[in-house]
Amino acid sequence: MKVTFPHLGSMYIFCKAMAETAGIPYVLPRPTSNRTREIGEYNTNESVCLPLKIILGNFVEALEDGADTIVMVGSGPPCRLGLYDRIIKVVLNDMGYDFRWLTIPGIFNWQALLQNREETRVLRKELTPGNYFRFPWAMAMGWKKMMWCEHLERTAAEMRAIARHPADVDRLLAQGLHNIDQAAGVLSLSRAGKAAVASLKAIEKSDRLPLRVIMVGEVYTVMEPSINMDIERRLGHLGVIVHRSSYFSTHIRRGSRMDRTLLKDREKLLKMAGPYLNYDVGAECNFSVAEAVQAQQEGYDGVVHVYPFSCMPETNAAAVLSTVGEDLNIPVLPVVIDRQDMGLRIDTQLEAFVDVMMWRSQGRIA
Amino acid sequence: MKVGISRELLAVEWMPELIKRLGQLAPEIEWVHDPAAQIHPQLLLDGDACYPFKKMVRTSLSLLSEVEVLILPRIVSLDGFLMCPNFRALPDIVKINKERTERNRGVPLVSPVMEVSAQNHLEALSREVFKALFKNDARDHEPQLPDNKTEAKGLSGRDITNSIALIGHPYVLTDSRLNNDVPDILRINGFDTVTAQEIAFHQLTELAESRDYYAKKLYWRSARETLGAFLYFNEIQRPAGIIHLVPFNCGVDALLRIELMALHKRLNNATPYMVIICDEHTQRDHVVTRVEAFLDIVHGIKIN
Repeated sequence: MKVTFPHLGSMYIFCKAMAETAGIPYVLPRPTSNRTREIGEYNTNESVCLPLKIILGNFVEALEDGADTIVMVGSGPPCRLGLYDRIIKVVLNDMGYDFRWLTIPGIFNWQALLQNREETRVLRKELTPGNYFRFPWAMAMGWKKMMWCEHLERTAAEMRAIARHPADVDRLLAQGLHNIDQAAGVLSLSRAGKAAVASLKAIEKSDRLPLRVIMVGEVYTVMEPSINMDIERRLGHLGVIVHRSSYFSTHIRRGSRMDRTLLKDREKLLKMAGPYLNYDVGAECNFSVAEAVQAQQEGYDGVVHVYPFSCMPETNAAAVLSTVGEDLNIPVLPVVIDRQDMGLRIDTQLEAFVDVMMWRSQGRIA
Repeated sequence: MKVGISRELLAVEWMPELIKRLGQLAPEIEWVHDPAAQIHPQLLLDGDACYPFKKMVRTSLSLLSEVEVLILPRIVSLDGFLMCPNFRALPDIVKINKERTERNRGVPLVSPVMEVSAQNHLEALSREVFKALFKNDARDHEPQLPDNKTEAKGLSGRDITNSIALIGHPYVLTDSRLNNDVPDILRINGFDTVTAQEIAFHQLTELAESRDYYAKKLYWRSARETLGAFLYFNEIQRPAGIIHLVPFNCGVDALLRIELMALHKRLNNATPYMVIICDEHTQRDHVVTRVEAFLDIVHGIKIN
């Protein structure tokens, strides 16, 4: 058995840590490239959303590299994410690949449990008692690594905007993530994490006043830099601190329904979107709107709304956000991402957006 | 009282029954479905919503200047399966656009949540709409609806060998602006048409069930109808061909097309199948050419 999983920001460090600690062989998917995108594009159609295409490409490349078991996080209705696993399986079968599939249920119900039982029927036979024994520890190790990664990414987002040489932050972040990934025990992990954060905080600073934006939108697009054209880094280089609406741990905590505070926050956000959206449209639609309203209340300089072309819930959020921006007098930049996108286009858009926010903060425009 | 419901919504399952029932409860309602003139307001919608959705928004906004009340149900689920998320947001998008225009701000929108899978749900919905329209409860002595909905007649006993089956969203199949006149083009070329909507939904969803895998159930009603119809026209009654009419950027059809294409490759002696993305064609001639090419294949198969 060789397990693989899709890329989603630094989630691979979490998955890798779990597999290594539990002693389960794995294949790390190659970093997402143009080829990865093209595999997804050529084997689906023009109206399929970009995350599905990239995940498909990740899986094909991992299968080419020897993986035989795909692990995918599931989701529910009404958006398309809930059927990604069904459709990706259809495409991979159609392409002639031989593989086994395991969906980690996004919603726990009888159907999901029965599916899990069926999907793990063969896998269970291949796992040793040692794998089972080490699994709780593997979960804990994966979780700790993920928390360090996210802490590091948040720190990097803050420091990049005020660094004299923002590229130094990118380098230190990459090095820090690598060290966290390589850490074999809790102590070495803690040392690696602390050292990475300290090195980021020690960088030479400029005297520019950073702007603050919140990045909202479809979760996969918010979290995966290869999909969102690395907007967080690009904005950071322009002196903007980017707060993401989604981190991987947020989704795990929300999905497991363990964290009551998080669930209450979600209810509060749904109410906040109420004046614009009277009903839960699905996925992150209402939350994108609510987080923009919240950002205005908390004094952010702007909102970046990222979503893949043709995303059903976020298309509605984009329409609503254009009126939220007007009503609350906060700049909202919609960035619809698809295969036609080029870094230069995004750079031009972001530069114009940053100019608007800067002039507003300086009182040069209303 | 002049009450508006956009023409596109009439094609959605259960809507004709809702209108019929409201007509029984309040015969004084004068229905308006088509605006005398389409207005072209500056919509808030950005470019990537599907064309049928944009058309629903525009028709609804145009109707506002001709009616006293606009009914725009928030269609969440029908027959136990979900509608696409756009239908959940439709009333909000219309409301936001309405508030941006100076005219017609006073025309009320009635937007009850529509989750209908049985006659008693429809009855409750009709009474809720009645109350919103007339500010009082509907009288109890009005005739009640029968317990069971009148199902589609079905196609058994009908020769469909010289017909082309059209599958897709009902509002696309019934609107010539959305389907690029494909039914008419087929008729001119000597073919009748049959649609998924002529077959009872329970039969289609049963066929679609064969592809479900535990929790991985197709949860959209229209997807189940289309998949069920595809299987019906391949396995139960065989027409000369199947054309899947798809609006560009339809999220539901985007996934379904992948499944249908894969399924079509695996079927032995499958019925000829083609997808037409309706709004990628700018002229009728483009569509005619595609349909003619497809019919050449259909004829070729018949000759062989």
